[in-house]
Amino acid sequence: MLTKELVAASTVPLVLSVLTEGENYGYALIQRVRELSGGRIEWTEGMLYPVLHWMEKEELIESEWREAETGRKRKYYRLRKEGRKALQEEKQQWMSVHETLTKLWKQQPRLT
Amino acid sequence: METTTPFDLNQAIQRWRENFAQSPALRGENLAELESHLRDSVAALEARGLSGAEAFLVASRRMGNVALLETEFGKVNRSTVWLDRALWMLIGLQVWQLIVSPVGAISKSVVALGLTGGRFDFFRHGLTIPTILFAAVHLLTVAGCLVFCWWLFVRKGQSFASRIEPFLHGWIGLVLICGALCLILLTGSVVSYGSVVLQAKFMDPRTLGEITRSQTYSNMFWWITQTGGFILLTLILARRRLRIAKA
Repeated sequence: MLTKELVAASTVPLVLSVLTEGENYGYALIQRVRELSGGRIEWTEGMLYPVLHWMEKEELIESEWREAETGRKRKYYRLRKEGRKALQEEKQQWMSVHETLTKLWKQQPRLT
Repeated sequence: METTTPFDLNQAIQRWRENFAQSPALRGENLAELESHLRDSVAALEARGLSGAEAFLVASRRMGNVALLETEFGKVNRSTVWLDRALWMLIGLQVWQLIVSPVGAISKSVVALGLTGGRFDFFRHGLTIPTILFAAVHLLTVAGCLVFCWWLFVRKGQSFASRIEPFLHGWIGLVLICGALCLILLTGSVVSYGSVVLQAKFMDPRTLGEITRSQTYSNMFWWITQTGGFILLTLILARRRLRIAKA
């Protein structure tokens, strides 16, 4: 399980990355992240929505209410140009953390 | 024997929505989206073999608790939250004014009438007793109004808000509210100013002068206490805020 801080920091890049696969709605976004992380990333589900709305306000994503195949309405989110740019920046930052940690842990193999 | 009522998802969701009904942090659209999520979640859990009631319990637990969601949504919907706060402050201020001045005027007139009716000799006994009486009645009035406002906004706040809310949707309701407010305002003015006019008309001028003097002393005492109290309260709050911000 991730710490609260890491969950908070990784939510935006995770959402942006899942949305590169195509538009999606909140519940399915959470399922996708759970599936990909093998259950290690567990969100308090309701907490995703304020983040989504903030991202919409920042024009990283856009949304639309549509009727799903079940007949009920769902709110679908889609990536915007600004979102793609933000994802590129996020990628660089996370990769630099990842690379640095990997190098350090290779030097001290007994740490794990 | 235990009787079990069949689980009704729509009812359960309705009850769950009521948790947030009065909260300005969540807009109608936010609730609709959360409900849509809840229904997806329940359907998925039922497909895995859980009963309706179990699925709903697990799904709403996964959604997160009410206070947490309110805080997080409140950060995004800051304008709605502030609009709601400002509105309640305004309503509070007006209810306070509408109650305090007529009630104060009535109680003061009662004291003045009592003193003159009881043939209190202002010139022999001085102004100490009338001043204390006026101040004490003022204290009782303010305390009573405080208790009433606390009861209205804190104890009955939810039902007060939900009773007023339906009126705000249509024009007829708005006109009705305005009419009721005008009526209260008019009655309050007639009572509070009328009593002063009546005193001036029918009271012996010298007695009236003494009553006015003792009322003025009592008002001065109140002005000092009230303003001092507000300054003290502001300082205490400012200190608390500073301590919380630094911690």
